[in-house]
Amino acid sequence: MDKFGMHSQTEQLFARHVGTGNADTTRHTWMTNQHRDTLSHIVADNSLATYIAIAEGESVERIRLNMLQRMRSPCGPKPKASKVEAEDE
Amino acid sequence: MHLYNLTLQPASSISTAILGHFSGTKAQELVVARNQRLELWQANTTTGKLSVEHSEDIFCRIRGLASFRVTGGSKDYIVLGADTGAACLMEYDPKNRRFSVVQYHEFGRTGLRRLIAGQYVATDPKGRAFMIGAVERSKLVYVVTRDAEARLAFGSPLEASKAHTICFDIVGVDVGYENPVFAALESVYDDGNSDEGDVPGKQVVYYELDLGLNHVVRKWSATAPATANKLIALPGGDDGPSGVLVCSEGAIGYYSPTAASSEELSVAIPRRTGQDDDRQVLIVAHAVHRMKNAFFILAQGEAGDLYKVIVEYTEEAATKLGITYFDSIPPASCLRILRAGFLFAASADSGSHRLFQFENLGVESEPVNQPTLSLRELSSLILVDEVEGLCPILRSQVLNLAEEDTPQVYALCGRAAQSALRIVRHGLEVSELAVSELPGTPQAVWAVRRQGEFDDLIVVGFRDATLVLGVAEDVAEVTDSGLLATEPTLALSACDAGGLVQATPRVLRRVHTDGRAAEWQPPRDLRITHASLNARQAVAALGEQAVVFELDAMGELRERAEALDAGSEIVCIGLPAVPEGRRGASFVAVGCADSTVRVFALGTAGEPELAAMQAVADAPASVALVQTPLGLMLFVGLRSGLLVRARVDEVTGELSDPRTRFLGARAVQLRPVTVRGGAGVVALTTQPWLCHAHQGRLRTIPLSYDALDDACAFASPQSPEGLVSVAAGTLRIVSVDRLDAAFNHASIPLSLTPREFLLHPESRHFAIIESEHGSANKPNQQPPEQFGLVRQGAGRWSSVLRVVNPFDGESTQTVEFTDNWAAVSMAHVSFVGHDERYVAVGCVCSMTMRPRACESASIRIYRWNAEGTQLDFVHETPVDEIPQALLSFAGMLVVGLGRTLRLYDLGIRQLLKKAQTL
Repeated sequence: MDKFGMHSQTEQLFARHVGTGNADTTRHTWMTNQHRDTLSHIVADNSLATYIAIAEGESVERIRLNMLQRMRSPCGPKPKASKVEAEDE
Repeated sequence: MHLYNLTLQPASSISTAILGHFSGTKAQELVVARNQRLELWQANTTTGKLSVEHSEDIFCRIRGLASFRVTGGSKDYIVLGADTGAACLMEYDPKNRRFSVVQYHEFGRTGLRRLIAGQYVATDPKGRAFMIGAVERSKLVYVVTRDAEARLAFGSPLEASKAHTICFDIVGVDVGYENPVFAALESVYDDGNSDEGDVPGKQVVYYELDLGLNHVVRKWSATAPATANKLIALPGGDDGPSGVLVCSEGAIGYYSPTAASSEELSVAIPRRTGQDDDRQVLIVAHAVHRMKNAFFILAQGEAGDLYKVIVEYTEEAATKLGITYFDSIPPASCLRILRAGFLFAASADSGSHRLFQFENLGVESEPVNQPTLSLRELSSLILVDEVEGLCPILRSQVLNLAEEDTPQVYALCGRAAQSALRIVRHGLEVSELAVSELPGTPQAVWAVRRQGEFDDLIVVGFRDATLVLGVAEDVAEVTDSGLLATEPTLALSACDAGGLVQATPRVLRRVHTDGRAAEWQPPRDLRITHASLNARQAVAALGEQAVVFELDAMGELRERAEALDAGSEIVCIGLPAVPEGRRGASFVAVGCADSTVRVFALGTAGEPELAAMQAVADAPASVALVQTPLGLMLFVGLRSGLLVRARVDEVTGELSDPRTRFLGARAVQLRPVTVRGGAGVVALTTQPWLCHAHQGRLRTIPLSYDALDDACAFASPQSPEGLVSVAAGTLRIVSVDRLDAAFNHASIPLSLTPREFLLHPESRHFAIIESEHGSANKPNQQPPEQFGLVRQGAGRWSSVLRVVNPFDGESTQTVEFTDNWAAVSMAHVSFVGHDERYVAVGCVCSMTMRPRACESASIRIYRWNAEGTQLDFVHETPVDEIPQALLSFAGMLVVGLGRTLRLYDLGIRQLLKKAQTL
């Protein structure tokens, strides 16, 4: 009954397009991807980075560094899998 | 209904800039990225002035630029990193004055996406390949070659992507002619699926492009400090040790596969003393400059301090690093060192872009590798040019406080030490070089030269006399010029055969260099009503006819037998300057009282023929024919304040493409001038206007200056393209320095980042609230203009409420907030039952951003005094949330507090809560 084992093409798609979800995507994974997309957008958009820099009173480079550092684990570590999910893994 | 928008002034902040020879010439140019625009800048190495050569909107958000030169190539190309999802190689075409795309390859979707490459661009220093990287995972390498027609082309991309990897920076490592290597500063993240072992922290990774096998391999990696943010590539091959410097918070380290690990390869960045914050320095910008047998590295910290990094090296790798304090300038987003010895510091949010000249490469006595530095005045750099910008604009209002023709924009700009209230006007900035009083009411002015390349005579015309002034050390009256001083002058010109020509109502006088004078008088009792002269010809109007004169072989003005018959009373004449290599101008324009302008072809002999006629809306006040770089143009200034311009065919004299523009409510007087080597026209009405060829088009732009009665082009050693003018009884010498900026600023400096401002309509004073997180303004400890503010540490706020007079820049009142209080919002309120104007200021104590909270908050009510120059404190009302939104409504104050709206009325001791949303 493992979806991922039966549809290897889907698995490839999920690997290529990071952030694509399915019915079994956990809240943590979804939030992490949301945060990563937002943080990388702030790093890329000069106006948005400057806006945040003025609000916080820091230099734009430091804001970029803070955002990129946060991207590694924006919502904390993955919570322990529940019993139901552990069966699927 | 259609929404039409016109960009008055594009973005002025520069995110990145690159140096190179983009036109293929010897001069080094800058290509500068300004949000969506790509601009080519030139730095004049003799005058030290920056100028914009070309500016183009390329309709994509520019994230990175890199310059690329193929081995053996003569010009630099531009690799563009943008949000297009494509690899783009561009070049600058100087003949057609535009940026053109050499090749374009799409690999992904558009937008600022984290997985699509475009954020980082890096080129191999020897010009063989470039890499485009994304914030996460994607890195693409393109190999650039020359195709059959010797044009540059790149092939399919080679992938160097690595999943779950955040990239902080990418640079092209200089490895001489070995396989190209790109260094990336990256960090793998644990996505929760892998349970095995520790995920490696931040790493410096070498990606090598194997040109033979045509693939990219991950060749070498080393662990980098956890707070590393930037890479600096060192020169390699024969010029240096190769390898990269990794800048992290508080340290710079050298990393290379051939380096032995050593204590001496990492230095701590010196910190400022006297700050209340123990945070380490982060490098925000850097520049590497190669000289003969040496290289010079400058790195700038976030406070603005420049550091010089000294690298000792052997053939294999660097052996020792040293760091010294160089100088302090305002923080820049990008530093570039020009070969001519200039430092270009572009700013994204510090207001101005600056060009410095190097005095020396560092003070010899500066100690190396110290933990702290002591601030001092600039000793190695001199500021030579500053291009002002408006970035960032926090608030702005469009008002006409100065009661001029067009309103001004009052904008709160800048942050921290560069904060200012800027008054932005449409028009070129005019610098006044000299002003002197004149007797009586001068009506006209001319500047001529008798010999040399600079004008040495200024002739001022009055209603019934003429004053001749000599320009030497100072301006003094000259009596031996040979010109008639007892009569009013209609026109004046220097003559090609030496000497001068002066037209007065009674005579046309030709003065030779040896003092001889020949006069021509009109027949019978006629008077010369108008005249126009150039170096070889003269046209004098006598009512409906005009007499044409030409210079003969003996240097005398000979009258042509057939007069010019205009058919209607002549009110103005415009004779163009003699074209290069010709014996005279081919056309003359004549304005007639019947509201027409007629162009006559002069020909070599005989009666001048009518070539073209144009009806205009009102009687012409002045007319000029000018050979601009874009062709022969006819300018007509009308009595009603309109400027009409038309293109004149240089062979037939026919007029085409007429355009009209309203300039001001006074008759328009036209005077030909030279701007940047090309001829143009100055139009004088209620304010002076300049019409000239700029960046390939003709533009009409006002000069931000008073109304002038008359003006003339004036060449002097101080300003070769200046203007001498008469206005309101004074003689003024002015010049326009900067032609690029269509808007000029007058700025009033503020002490901290401004947040909001209000205008008191009667006194025309502004009330401004300023606040700063983490820094304070202590001018006694360090002057803020050069060194910035003093750091206080997170959680500390400083704030000021200021009343400022925009006309003289004086702050009539400054209220400082103490004990970590800061003002966050401000609004004018009119309370029912009270006649005076009140200002409500929302204040918070110890505000934190994440989460957004404060220790305490209040609303302070101030009342304007009777003159409108001071705010008197009335009372303070504590509230329980941050009062970010304030508005005057129905005679009461509406405050947005957290998730509720509250309505307050004015009480005697505090505000009274009247209503609240649930």
